[in-house]
Amino acid sequence: MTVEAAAAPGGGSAPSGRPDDGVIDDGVIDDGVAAAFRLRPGILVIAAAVMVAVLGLSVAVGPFRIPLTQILPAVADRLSLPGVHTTLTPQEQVILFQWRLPRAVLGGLVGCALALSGATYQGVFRNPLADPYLLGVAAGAGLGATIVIGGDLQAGWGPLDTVAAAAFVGALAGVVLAAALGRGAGSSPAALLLAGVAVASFLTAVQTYLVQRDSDGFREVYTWILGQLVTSGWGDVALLAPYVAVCGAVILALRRQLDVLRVGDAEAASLGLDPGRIRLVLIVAASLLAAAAVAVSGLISFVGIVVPHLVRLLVGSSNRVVLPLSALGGAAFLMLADLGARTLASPAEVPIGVITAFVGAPFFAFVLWTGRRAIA
Amino acid sequence: MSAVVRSVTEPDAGRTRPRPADGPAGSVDPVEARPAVVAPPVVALSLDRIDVRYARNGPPVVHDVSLDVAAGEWLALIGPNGAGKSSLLRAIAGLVAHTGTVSLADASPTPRVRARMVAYVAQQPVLPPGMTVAEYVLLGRTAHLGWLRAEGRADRRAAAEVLDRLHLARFGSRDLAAMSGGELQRVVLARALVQEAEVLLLDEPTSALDLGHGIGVLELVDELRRDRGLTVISAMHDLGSAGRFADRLALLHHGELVAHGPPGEVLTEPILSRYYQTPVEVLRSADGTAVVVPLRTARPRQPESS
Repeated sequence: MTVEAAAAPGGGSAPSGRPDDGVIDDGVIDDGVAAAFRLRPGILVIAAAVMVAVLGLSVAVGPFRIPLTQILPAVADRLSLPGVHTTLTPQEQVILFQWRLPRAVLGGLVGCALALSGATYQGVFRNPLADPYLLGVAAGAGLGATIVIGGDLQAGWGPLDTVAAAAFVGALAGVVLAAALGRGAGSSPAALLLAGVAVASFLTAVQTYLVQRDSDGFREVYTWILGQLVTSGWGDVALLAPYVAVCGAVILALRRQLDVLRVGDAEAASLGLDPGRIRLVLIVAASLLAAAAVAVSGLISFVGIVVPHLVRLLVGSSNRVVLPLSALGGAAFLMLADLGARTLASPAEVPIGVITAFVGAPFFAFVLWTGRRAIA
Repeated sequence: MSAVVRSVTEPDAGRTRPRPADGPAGSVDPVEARPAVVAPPVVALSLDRIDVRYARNGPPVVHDVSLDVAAGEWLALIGPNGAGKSSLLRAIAGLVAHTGTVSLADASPTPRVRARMVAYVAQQPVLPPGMTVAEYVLLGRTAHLGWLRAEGRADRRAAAEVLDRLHLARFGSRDLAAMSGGELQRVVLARALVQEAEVLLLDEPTSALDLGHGIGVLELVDELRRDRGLTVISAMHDLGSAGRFADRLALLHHGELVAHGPPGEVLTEPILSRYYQTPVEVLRSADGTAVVVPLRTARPRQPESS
């Protein structure tokens, strides 16, 4: 950027605080600097459109087919917007509003929570393999929730629910254990992963023991362990939505700091960040997200690793890009997986965790193979 | 030379405010005097009895180091491997726990305030996979941004200016992994410059570079120092470059400051032979700077003697 070029006539002035404002215009900031860390609006719009399309599809498809074109008018009618009247029968409306829509929205929220949580862990631990499932977070949340469900301790009001609280405590215990063990074993990404596997195995063993010992009390847990989005009405959505909103806002607000953390703690500190504090806030937020998702839908694996990696492969590795797109992509991915869960073996249901693992495990292997540079 | 090698238990041990009237340390033999260097009297940074330990009751890796560094000065930390050069730099940057005080303009700065006063370039900087040159340089603006603020137009302009100054403008959108060693060192330097701190800490800035690129980076640092009035503190292995570029050398040995002063006073045969534990010959190049030549010896090591 040269001052001569900038001082040429027509140089615009910029309303900000540097002394050279008004002399140098935007045109001389080169493309690389202008594009740095920026999420292009077009990509965001595309991702949002994909998510909405998948939402429409998963609401329309099922044993009762609801025409895509009828969905929006029905929603508008339901919201009592003037001048819109649905042509759906009352029976179709019940299917739409009591079954399909809450289930799709719940799937979207769970996918959003898991993908955002995974992307956050990957940033915080500077580890492309970090994921709520692989770190023992989900297993910890599962154990916490199992104790509450099986012990018949369920109580709560709205989002403040004992299942969610126990899941959160278990999730934090899982990630803290994995991080501590992983640090003791060395600083490589594989060490953290192996520690997570050990923690997850242990917590799952405890959970299985509890379920086996008292199979009557824990019957409800069985289906839940495999992951499920079976729900009636909007209760679970109301439970999960506040967590996604609050934790998602916290994580997205700190996405710039998460990019600074990519240079490691020492250099991040020399740049003026307090890495310990940022990490603490982000781990709590990501764990709360994962725990809330586990509390309503059980253990759904690989969403947190597949979606952020796909985003990175497609549009780059800045967290300003990865985090928002993972949130949208996670929602779309899980709604699609649930569509598969409902329709592949219809009228029976395949547990959604089976679908995500079926897609996610090969993808994980692919990441291991192609991502050696980033992982080693 | 006795003025240079001082016992650190002396009351004013290690203090060398580089003023002309500061006694023997400041009085320089005309042959060794470097014409362009008239150290300004303003102190940019003052170290007072710095101790660094990595284990709570372990031995100190830096012990009782006190130094003043003048604004605009280039101070090179030299010494054998493990002497504590990098640890002292990290203490100044606030990255390791230490006792004693590092006095900056602000008495007890937060990380953010400190980062606006001191920029630190690590010996082996972390290069995040998939990050572009421009993104990496923009990270240098961190200390200038509030919690919820993204980089604004002014920050991007500052980054573009520095990239241009360091002849990196056309590499802005390139992946860090695609840069050569010499280019990367300039990129890392660019990030530190964008921080707009007055003190620049460099940990072995040329260790990964060949002769030509190494000198190129040091010349660049020197130019920037003059242009922007930066104070530079660098840990350096290469005594020749240290003597040629720095105004003053500080020799660390087992964490203690054992000698400091202008290059001509520190780069001497007795001092270097003693602390590097190998015999050396110090030659003078045409412009008067010291050239250190290690001598071969039939004996494996000379015992400490001086």
